[in-house]
Amino acid sequence: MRAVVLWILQILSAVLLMGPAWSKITSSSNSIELFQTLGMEPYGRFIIGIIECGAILCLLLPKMHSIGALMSVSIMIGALIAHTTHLGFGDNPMGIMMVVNLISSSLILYLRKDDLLNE
Amino acid sequence: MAKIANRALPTLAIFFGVLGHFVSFYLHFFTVGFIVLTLLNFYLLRGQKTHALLHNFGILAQARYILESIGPEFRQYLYSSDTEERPFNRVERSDVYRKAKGIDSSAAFGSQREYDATEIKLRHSLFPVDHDQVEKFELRFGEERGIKNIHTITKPIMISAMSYGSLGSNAVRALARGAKKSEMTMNTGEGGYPKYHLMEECDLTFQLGTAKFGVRHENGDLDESKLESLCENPFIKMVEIKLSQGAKPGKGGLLPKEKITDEIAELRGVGKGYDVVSPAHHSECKDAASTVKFVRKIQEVTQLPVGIKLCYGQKEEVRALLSEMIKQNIFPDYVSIDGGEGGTGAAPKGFMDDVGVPLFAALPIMRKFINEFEIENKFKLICAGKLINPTKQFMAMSMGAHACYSARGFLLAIGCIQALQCNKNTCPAGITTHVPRLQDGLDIELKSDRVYNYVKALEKEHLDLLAAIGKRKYSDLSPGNLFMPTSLLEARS
Repeated sequence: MRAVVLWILQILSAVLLMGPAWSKITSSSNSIELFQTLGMEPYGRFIIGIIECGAILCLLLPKMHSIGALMSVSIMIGALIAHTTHLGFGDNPMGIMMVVNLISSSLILYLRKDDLLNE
Repeated sequence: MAKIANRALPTLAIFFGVLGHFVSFYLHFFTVGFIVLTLLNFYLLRGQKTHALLHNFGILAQARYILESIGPEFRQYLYSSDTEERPFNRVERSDVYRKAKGIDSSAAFGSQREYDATEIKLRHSLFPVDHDQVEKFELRFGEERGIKNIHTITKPIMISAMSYGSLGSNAVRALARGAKKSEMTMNTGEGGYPKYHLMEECDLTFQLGTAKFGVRHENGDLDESKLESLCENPFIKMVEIKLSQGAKPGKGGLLPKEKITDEIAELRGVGKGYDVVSPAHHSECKDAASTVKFVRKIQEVTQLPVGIKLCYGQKEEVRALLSEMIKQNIFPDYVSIDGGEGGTGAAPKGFMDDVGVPLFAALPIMRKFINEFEIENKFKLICAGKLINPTKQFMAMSMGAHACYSARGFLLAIGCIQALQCNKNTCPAGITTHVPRLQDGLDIELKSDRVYNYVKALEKEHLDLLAAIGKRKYSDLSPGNLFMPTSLLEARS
């Protein structure tokens, strides 16, 4: 049961990361605009896009799930900071997706805490 | 220190948060890092009680676990002196590496050992023998019984029992190919049908373990027809009944169902989907009398020289076993004494550390019994237990052994770095692992040459030592060749 729940959460977090990662890597106009506002265009966009791709891979690879979840939590905290301080949330569902992903990744981390902490 | 760290984390998160807002958004990379560390630290301090250190000191205590986990590597490479490590120190390992690579293994300035009369030493002769007067080594197993299939070895050392399972297939094949090149006999270990050992066509001793892997019915009983048919293979030269093992004497084993692949199930002759238990003793061997009868049964079924392997334990039991052999007039073709210091892929630490008599204490007692019962000409005596260098082998042979076994010496020869991970399937040298990526680094042909070089170097040093002791043949070796420290003499009496 625990394994099923974990896989659902891992797939959910990975799927939620795919859209933002794709738009950053492919230089979508929306993404360029956001990173221009943050003063991180283009390097910051590519760095964060690559980190997001790494998190997706780790979330789905055996023995790397907890690392992936840790990366995902970090990305979501960064995104929350960006949207809270500079970008705002507007009308799009991005804010909800971020919160869902943060909760999902945090749950993965909690359930897999023994993988991260040395005995 | 921990208090400072616990307060510094949120402070730094706020500090970089402000900098990230007013200076550059890039600085929020640090903000995020410190927020994650702060949350993790909060969980460790308030959210868990499994680890007391982490609960009391927070994330800084995690450093202790990390340092502890990398400690063995640091000690091995940086801090331990050349003569400190166990089971083999760097000096001993380097000697094997150099021999295996065929490079000069001479040392300079002086011995690194404590030369203080607490160690056994070899006594040299004032009148050494010329090398050309030294007889070549030869030992014939089975000649005492006058059997048809006598096995003759021409090297004083054999590769001790290591099965496929504990070793990966590449390692088994490298050792077996090396044995073939060196014209040496290799023991298959108790891991069932020796598929990979047989691939290299070297002389083999098939080891019959308590679970009878490879020659058993599904319930664990001996399948005589399987054993008979296996022993018809021309490369199976001898059979060894394992009564006990130095690393875990008196202890059986457990093969968990998760490790039973289709191949393992086939080679060992076991079913899948359940744990397979290796009993602590052969079901046929309940006492001395039944053990001797079992030896005869195996001799009759296999028609090959049959030995027994045991770790010396209780004096009365060994005496009783030898007495029973005389009473029934049935003798194994050899007895192999495995010292309590013997190695293994996996064993309970307590058994490895504290159960079983060490070889150099056991061997002289065994020889004393043999002399007392006047059965010198009934079987050969072999021994094992950290005998990786020629001087140790010579000491054992001076105490009465006819030949020696070594397993770890040959593992070092094929590249073992003593990472102590044999039980984890993570051997970095690709030896005790089945992970294809790790096994890839072990080149069978190259490593088999290392085995050949090692054996050649051992042979040469044996010759030098025999000449230096003033003997012309191995059978002239005796305890008189040894300087025995008083402490060991007292322990033996």
